[in-house]
Amino acid sequence: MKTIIKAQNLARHFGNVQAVKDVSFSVPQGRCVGLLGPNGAGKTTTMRMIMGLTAPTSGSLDVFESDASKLNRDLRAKVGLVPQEDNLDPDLSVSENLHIYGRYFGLSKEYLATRVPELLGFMRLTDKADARVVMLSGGMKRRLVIARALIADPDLVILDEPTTGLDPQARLLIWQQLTALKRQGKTLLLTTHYMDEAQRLCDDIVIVDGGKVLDEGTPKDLIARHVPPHVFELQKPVDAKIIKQNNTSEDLGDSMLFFTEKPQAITKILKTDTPYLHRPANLEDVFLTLTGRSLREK
Amino acid sequence: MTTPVSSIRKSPSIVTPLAQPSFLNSVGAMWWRNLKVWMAHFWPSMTGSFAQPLLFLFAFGFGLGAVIDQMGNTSYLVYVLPGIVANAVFFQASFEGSISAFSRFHLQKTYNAILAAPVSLFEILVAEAVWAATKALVSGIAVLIVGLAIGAIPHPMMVIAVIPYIFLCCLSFATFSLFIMAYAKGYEFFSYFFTFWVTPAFLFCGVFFEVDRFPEWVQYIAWSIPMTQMIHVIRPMLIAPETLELSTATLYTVYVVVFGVVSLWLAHRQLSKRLFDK
Ligand SMILES: Nc1ncnc2c1ncn2[C@@H]1O[C@H](COP(=O)(O)OP(=O)(O)O)[C@@H](O)[C@H]1O
Ligand SMILES: [Mg+2]
Repeated sequence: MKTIIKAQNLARHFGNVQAVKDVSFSVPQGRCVGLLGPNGAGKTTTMRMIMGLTAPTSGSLDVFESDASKLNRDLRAKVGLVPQEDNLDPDLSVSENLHIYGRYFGLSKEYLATRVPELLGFMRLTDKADARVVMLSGGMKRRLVIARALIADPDLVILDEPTTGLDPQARLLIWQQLTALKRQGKTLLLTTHYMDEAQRLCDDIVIVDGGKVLDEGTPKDLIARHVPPHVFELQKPVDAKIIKQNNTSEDLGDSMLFFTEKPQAITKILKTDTPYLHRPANLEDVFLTLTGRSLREK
Repeated sequence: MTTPVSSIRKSPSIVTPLAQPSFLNSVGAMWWRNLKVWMAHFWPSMTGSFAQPLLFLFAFGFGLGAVIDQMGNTSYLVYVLPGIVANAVFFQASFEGSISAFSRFHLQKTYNAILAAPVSLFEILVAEAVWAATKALVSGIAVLIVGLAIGAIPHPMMVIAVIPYIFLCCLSFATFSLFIMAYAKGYEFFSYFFTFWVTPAFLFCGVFFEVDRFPEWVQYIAWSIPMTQMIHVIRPMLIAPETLELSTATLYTVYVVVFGVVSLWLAHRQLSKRLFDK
């Protein structure tokens, strides 16, 4: 399988700020890879380096087997970017935004005449084709930015927080359509700080924090590697027998989390009327195990 | 919610895109984008492009003309018309290259959006300059047409030669504004640009009377602003072409071109620092 993106020991600092310290990962063709990390982890900086918009301070970064900062025009045309902040043309209509963006890729009018309606349909924006961008909701703008990134039928689509700030319905639609893109064989790289989004969409996840990769792998592998498969959340006070079992536990204040291999060991101790939550371990548990639960303010 | 997932054509590259990405395509695409936005604000755009320069012509041509009457051996209206043309295009090119371009760069992040497509910053800046020059030329042509209609242009055929010359000068005015814009952090910054560049041009570059009536140090300032060179080429072209010496015209034109090229280079240098986190 071809490697579309290969980052090795990537680093970038801005003055004294080490935005990216040491990041290595690769994105194989046709996979969806997620950079999962909190705000300030260095995700956007990594994306910008891949797009050739920011130069790495050190390390190497290849996109389509060429140096990312020296991609030629043809290779650049094969990458679609959904930036973190929407930068649509607010004074123009939805379809004009797409037509104009297509011109930057040298696409012909004939091609755009079929491509634009196709993408509007794909992103459920057909009804809004003539609406000015200023009239759109946040979710619609985001869908339009995604449609715009797809205008030249890119092989690689890079999405920086595609659903941040959107309501559940809008997120769901975007997830569905990104899944459809995956099925078409497109290579996707997305950043997110939503665990559910990463778990749902990504084949491989690279967990980043403080400009470094903490671990990477499929969601399943990551969970198996870092946390026991069963999670119980119990209200305090918790029966002392459970605490003595020596499970991995975390104090959440009013309640406690217990991670265990053997759920029966806990359930048999619990009184029948004790309210509790039993769920499989998920990425969030992995993430919090790796990065700690405390609130981090900059 | 179980909306069926619609599909898009798997391999639209079968439909061969006609144009290939190229320098001209990129510049043309952004020029087209600016034109579309301009058209989206049709009435304010028309007012800015036509009404404003014609108001100037009316106020200074007829207003001042009634007081001044003669300038050398031409009527004041004839004398001032090329100045009004120059001032109109200078103002338009300067405004578009500074405040309007800054809105695209800073407020709307249009440059960031375009840089994610296979377009370079150099192409963006050339497109901005060509667009600003186009918009400026529209205002200049409006004044020239009125001038022709009222018979204030003694050599009407020279208008055909003057138009491309105006366009060339506008490119230079525009790249200088882009250079200033490249350093702006906010809109307040442009008050310096308008106070120390656009307004002095209006007052000292020979729109209303000869530059040599000013004290010498003012003349130095005037001749550093390329609008002075422009006026000293287009005024004789429209009024008395036989008095324009080729060597003088060449010298002035070289100044305008060098000024524009250096400005473009400086604008590119500063904006690449800002856009590419250098
Ligand atoms: N152009 C820049 N200049 C200075 N600091 C920056 C710049 N871009 C990012 N940073 C800093 O680098 C760190 C990582 O930022 P970013 O890559 O945007 O993280 P993320 O996208 O994961 O939230 C942050 O502390 C941010 O403030
Ligand atoms: Mg970010």
